[in-house]
Amino acid sequence: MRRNRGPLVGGLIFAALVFPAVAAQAQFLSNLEPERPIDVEDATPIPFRAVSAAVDWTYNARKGGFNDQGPGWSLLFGALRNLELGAAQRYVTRPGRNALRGISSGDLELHALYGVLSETARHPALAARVGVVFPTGLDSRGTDFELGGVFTRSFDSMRLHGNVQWRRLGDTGVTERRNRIEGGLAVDFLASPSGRTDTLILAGVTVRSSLVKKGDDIVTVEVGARQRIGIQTILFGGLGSVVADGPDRPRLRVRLGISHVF
Amino acid sequence: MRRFDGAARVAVLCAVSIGALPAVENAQEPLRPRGTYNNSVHRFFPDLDSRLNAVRYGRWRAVEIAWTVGINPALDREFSAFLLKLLADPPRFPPEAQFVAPGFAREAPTVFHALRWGQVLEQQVSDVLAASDATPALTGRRLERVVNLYRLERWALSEPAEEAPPPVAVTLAPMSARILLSGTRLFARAMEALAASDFGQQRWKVKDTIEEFDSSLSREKAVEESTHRVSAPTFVERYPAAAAHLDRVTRFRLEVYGALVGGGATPEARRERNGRLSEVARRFGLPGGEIGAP
Repeated sequence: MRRNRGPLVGGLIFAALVFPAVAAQAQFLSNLEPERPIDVEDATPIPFRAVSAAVDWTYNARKGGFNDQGPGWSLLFGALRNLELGAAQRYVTRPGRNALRGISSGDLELHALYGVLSETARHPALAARVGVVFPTGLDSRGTDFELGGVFTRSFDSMRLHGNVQWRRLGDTGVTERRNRIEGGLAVDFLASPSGRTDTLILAGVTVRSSLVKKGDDIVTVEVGARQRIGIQTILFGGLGSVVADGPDRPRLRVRLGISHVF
Repeated sequence: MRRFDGAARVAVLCAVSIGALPAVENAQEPLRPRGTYNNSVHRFFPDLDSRLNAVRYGRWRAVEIAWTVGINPALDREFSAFLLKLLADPPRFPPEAQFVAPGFAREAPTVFHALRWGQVLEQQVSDVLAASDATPALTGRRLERVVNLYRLERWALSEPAEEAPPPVAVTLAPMSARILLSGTRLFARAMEALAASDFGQQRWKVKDTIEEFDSSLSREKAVEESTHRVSAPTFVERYPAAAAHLDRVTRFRLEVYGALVGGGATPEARRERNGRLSEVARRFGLPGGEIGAP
């Protein structure tokens, strides 16, 4: 069942695509956003005036067959100092089957990430995240609400990131949870022994509560890399695996994409 | 199916409330000002840009080493070898400073941002001069805007009331200082080459500048040679405000190195180092607090 929200979605996408026309230029290898390439992000919002656009393709090889794949895009905008606004959307094949797993195809996610504290000797960087997921996708139901916190602490050239998020689902069945909690930890470090800041290696683990009330928690491990390939362009790729979930969990997830800062 | 239920309304309310909060004390640096000239040096003079990137890496690495262990003759040989290796295979892209100097960025954010913002000014000025559509009038207008935007930022440096004594860091690590001063002189000579010629001639002048830099890396140089006043007279004559700000950033960097000479190996050394660095920050109009671990 799906309500037609074509005009609303079209308007939002158009507005998002217009933003780059007024953007400035830079590059930010260190600025992590979810799924670029791993789920965990850092606590630093994109700089004021910056616009970052990214696209990727993700392939899930699932246990028991029924593999799926699809593209995702995201746009980030540094609307104010310490405030990032973003939009993201992902499509997957087999949307009906994925909807039962709590994975949407085509839902539009809007978020704001606010940098509450910059990192100093006394405390890590802290950020607050608020998001709304609109059911614009196939077989999607209800508007979801997300609220979370992010921290980043650096240890020499290695950084530790932690994400915690609560998600309130707008429409659930009798066997489904209305509230889902997820948390993730990740580290990143430079690949170059001489300290060149062109390649970043990342590794992370995330734990999510199951969509089903008595289901097992979903544990995902991921590794990835971000490689600067142009003065403003970054290529990213990652490998992941869901190590605890239902019988049809993804044994291997491969993601490859590119992001550009305007 | 529900549409825009209570949760969505709460989310929008939260987003608006967070956006309306005042900026935190350690406010974020903005992205460099936009302009069609951005990345001109990278695009049109890649050989020059890669050497400038090597110098940028060297500066941040030097700050990080000095912040932790100080500046001394024992480290000079090791660090100068690192710099020469970097210059032999210079990087294509500028460094992300918080990765090269993570401890300094974390523990002395005020000075870190001032140096970073100075680097942004340096990049902007050279990009304006190297733009393919540059004319004296257009370059003048662009540089005026670039300098004004630099000055508006809280990390911009003010002119100190009095001159500082010559920095001791130069004598304690002579080999490294010679290379870094050559690098700073390269910035000034590049500005001169770009300012004194039109787009057609710039290629040859920049080529000469690079050759002269490569052949004179380890030559003994006076500190004054790294200033635009001495090494870029045409640039100073045409664009005095931009030159004055860039020279101020150079003097600030030298004073920062001077303040870090003792390093931070012991609590006592850290306290003295933090005090000296705070003093330098205040001299240049920056807030002196927020330096060093508690």
